[in-house]
Amino acid sequence: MHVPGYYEFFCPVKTVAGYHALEKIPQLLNDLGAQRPMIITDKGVVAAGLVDIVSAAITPGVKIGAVEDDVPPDSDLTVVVQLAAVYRESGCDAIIAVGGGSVMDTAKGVNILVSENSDDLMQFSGAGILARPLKPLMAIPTTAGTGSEVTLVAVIADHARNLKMLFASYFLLPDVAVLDPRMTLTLPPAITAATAMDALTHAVEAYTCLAKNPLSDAHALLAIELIGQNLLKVINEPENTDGRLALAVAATLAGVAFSNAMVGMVHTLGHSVGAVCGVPHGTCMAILLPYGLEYNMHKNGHLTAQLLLPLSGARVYAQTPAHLRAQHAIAAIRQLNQRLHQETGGRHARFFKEITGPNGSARVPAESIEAIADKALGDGSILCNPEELDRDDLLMVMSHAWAGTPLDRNLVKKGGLQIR
Amino acid sequence: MKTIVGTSNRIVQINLTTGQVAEFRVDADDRRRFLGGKGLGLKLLYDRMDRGVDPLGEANWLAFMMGVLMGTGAPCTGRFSAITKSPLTGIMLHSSCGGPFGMAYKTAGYDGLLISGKAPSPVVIDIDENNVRVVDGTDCWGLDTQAVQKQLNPDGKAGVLAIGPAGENQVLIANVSSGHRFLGRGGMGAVMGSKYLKAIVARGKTHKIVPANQKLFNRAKKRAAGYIEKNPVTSDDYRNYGTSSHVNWCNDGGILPVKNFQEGSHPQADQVSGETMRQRYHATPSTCKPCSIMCGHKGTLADGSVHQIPEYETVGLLGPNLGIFEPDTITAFNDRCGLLGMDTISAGSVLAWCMEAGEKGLIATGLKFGAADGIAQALDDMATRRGFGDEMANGTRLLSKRYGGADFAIQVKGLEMPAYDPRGSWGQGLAYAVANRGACHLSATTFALEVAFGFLNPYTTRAKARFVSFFENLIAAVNSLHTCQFTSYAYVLEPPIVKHTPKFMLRLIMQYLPAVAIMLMDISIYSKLWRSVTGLRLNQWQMLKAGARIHVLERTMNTGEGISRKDDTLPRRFLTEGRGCDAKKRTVPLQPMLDAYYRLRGYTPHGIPTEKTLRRLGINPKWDMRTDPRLDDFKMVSPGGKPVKRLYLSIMLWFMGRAIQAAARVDREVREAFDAIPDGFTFALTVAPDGPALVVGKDKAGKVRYLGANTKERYIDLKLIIKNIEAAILLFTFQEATVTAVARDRLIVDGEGPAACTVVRILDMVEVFLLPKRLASLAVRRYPQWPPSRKYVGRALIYLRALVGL
Ligand code: SF4
Ligand SMILES: [Fe+2]
Repeated sequence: MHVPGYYEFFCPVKTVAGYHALEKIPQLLNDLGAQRPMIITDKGVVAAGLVDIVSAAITPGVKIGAVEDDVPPDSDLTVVVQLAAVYRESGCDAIIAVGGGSVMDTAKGVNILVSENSDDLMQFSGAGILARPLKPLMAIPTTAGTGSEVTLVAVIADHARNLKMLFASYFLLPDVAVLDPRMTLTLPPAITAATAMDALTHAVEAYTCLAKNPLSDAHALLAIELIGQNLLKVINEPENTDGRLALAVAATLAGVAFSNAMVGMVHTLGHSVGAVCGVPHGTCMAILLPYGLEYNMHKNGHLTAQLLLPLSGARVYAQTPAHLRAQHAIAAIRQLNQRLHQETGGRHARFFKEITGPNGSARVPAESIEAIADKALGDGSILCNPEELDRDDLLMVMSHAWAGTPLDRNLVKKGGLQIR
Repeated sequence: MKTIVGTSNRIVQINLTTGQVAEFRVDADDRRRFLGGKGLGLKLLYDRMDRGVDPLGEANWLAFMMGVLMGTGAPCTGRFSAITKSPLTGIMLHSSCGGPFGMAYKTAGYDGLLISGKAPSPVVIDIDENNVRVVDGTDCWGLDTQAVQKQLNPDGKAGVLAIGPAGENQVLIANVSSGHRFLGRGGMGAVMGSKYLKAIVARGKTHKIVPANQKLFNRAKKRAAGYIEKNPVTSDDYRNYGTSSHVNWCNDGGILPVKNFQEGSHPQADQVSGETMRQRYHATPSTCKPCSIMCGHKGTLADGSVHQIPEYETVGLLGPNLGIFEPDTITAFNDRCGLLGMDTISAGSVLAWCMEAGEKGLIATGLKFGAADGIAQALDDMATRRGFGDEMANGTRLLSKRYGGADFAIQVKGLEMPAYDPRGSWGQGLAYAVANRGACHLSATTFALEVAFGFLNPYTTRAKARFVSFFENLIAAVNSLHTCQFTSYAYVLEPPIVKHTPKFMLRLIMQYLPAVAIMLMDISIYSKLWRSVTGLRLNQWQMLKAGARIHVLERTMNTGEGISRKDDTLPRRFLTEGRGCDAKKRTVPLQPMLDAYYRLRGYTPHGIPTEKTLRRLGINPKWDMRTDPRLDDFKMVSPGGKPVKRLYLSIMLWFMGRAIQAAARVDREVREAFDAIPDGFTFALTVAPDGPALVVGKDKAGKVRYLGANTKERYIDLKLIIKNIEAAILLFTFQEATVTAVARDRLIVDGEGPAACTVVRILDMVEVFLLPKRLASLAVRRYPQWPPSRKYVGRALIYLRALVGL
């Protein structure tokens, strides 16, 4: 057990999880003093029939003020402003966000505007700018991945000015997260795999990076175990509701862990690949996770070693000699990627080279690696990575992740500062 | 007419539950230790009350204490004290009032009245020299404060103390009236209401009070009257314009509350000043009796009707603080509050909070700054607890607890703040924070020294703690003698030493040698008056010590209710928000003043009187003084007491700043890192809350410059804020790496993420240049393998440049 000299931990989100969790919503809204929720979601979620399920579950007790499904795949400022206007016009008094990360971020943005009664989101961007509680916000994740239902940040893009606004405040935390297996039941296998790998990365990085602490560790370990035991099962039997629920809970646990312990270089590079090439976040995570662990091994190998137990179970853990456990944990993750690749008919990518766009061209061309490294130098998550990363280091890791070859750990420049 | 020499010393005790009436006397020792009035009342309640009793329950006591000077004819001695536990604050409450009840009760031959229990139905207490009767009061219940006084005292010969509808409905900001004057603050009226006690009637004029030492008394009285006549505040400002003469200088000094203390002055303020109102209303005296200062006034409106002219606090809170600058309107609100029996300060503050909360969308009452509509209705609703008025009746603390908006609920310990903005009078900020009954301007009136007379610089923490504790002692004594505390202007400022010292000298001594200044003050007139009346020995210093004893006893009773340092604070607005009227956007630096104050007072750093202090003052602690035993495990870190650490950090940051500038010119990699930052970009590394800082910027031409330690001078694009001085020490003594500090949440990053990463990288490189490998490898994740030429030559050049500042 690693106990830092000082740490902070915070998670006030009420979590309601399980079968028929959705039917609890009227009661929960009532507890929050709200009567007319606005549902924010995206077209995909509506098309999957999930909003109908939610509405059917809650309408006996609650009058829905508005349903808006205009959220684009990455949150957008104009949409936020537009939705805030709808919220006001329809006299809503709470928000229910049904969807993935982008929907959650959009809902958080809308909540800022309607609570502060403003149209200028920019004014509130930054860390700790919000000064008082916002209107009730309820999060119903439809992917088991981002953990946004328990995080205190939101990223909203201002496409007109080509910048991303980051919001971080305790007040952005949703009041309630509702996890119902029906919400993830129809998620296609490739997306299930990618989002679960995002959650796994959250948990693994929270456990192995600089800001870890005992409280986040507890969340991280259980998240890893749940994903280790259930991901393949769900890919094979998509209708397995127990497994779906386990993954949803794992994503929430991982969300709690990383929002209190931060993430490291896997996200540093992952964010940059996403920004430069538009590759889905979960895919980047799945590919980069083994590399992050390899790169940092000299600093956090003892922690990575402990992950073999939740990942592969007690038997494997006991059979593996202590000094090999870290490598085996990394191998287990690579293996998991390999299995997912097979089970999804090749749709789950194992390295960047093999990702192709709709017209068959490479999504991550080799030339883009330099731009990715440059971008990565400015990503905040780099600060919590156990080992220093300069541009050359980033290039090295990226080229291996691109080609799918393991890192040569002898070439990693090793610093002396230990995780404390 | 019978004669009482000194004091009758008779105190009546009534239990309203049982109807039992008793009478007792206080021994000379307690009288000397607690003087009378407020002090003695507190002591009597301390003996009788346990902690934790419900202020609106049977177990709460109510004391009315007349004091020693009343009835002797000394100047401004028409005033008496009331003490209870406040339902608004949950802690002790003392109030002073100059209504006719006092003189009537005193000249009926009594010194004090203690009431406990609860009557089964509305009652009135009727007292004359021989009888104390509890009579049925059902037919008075429901009457406003003036009607009930009329009904109980048709010929005006008696003195009545009565509550209005607000008190009956246990509105937490209800007051108690006597004539046109009030026991205003903290909900004394609700306590009476909770006991079903509508009124107390005293039928006096049967006793004459003569001093024990007539000769000494006459001398002292003559001198006192002379001082009052000579002093410009008492003989001119107050006598002619009342306390509303404060409006203009408060406005000039930026301490007049405007729109719920969002602003500190307003161009229209003069419309509601004492000077303007005097002219407009043809003011004539309407005062406590007897009084030589005569600050109270009544006046005639255009329609011929006669009204009390509102006091400064009323003007401030029901006027500018609501955005209202119409004297007639304010007068109408004042009348309304008076009849309903509600504190104008708290009522004004509640209204202002509702207006701001409405603007911020927390509640919807329709009340708006600058609009008088709805206010009269809201006051009525409050007093009768109708609709939302039921919530407003509980004061701003409970309102903001329920609806949010605590940052702009202008209250301390539950009591709403009077009309002096502490951001323009830092000593008053400390006084508000530590005053025993909550935000109170009368506990220590430093605003006058800071803003009106200019003896103390309002914008420094220097000497403030000392003056606050001195005035607290003095005022506690004055309220126990008991006389009007406005006499202190004259009695403190007029004696020869103060009068004839040039003002600049006074200023210097008061600010830099406050202890000496206090030693030189001659306030013996107070002790002489008390001594001549009672015939007991007491000098000025013993009197001040008695004041301290009274103040600390009250604090002790409050600590029993859980009060400690956490409660000695100000609304966030005053600690974090600057105002338009102050270009420097200053806020109150409370913590250092608090530390100094506790030290002077003999409290622990948690604000709890130490055993030693209690022993010195002769107070017997009735309960365990720790409010929370876990506090013992914590050491209080007070930044004021850490000059060495601050100095160390200042030097480190100064050098670091210059080294960054040097490194940007010497080392290629540092320069390249800076290339990633746009021209004109400025960043700062600072220590919260007001610690040392370094500011570095790239000018328009892309040149990197160290810009000094002042973060307020310019816009800063990126701030890395170290949360406290201890964390900064860990960082700069290299016990913690920069990234570890980030991981441990010790740093706040205020600005763009990418730039923050670059700055951290630059800081790391500069540290490698500056520090020997042994230290630098503790500060960075990976000690770089630079060729010796780069490292050593770079280091030499950077040191050289940093030292000469190139
Ligand atoms: S100065 Fe004013 S408050 Fe004081 S006793 Fe006289 S009238 Fe009353
Ligand atoms: Fe992620």
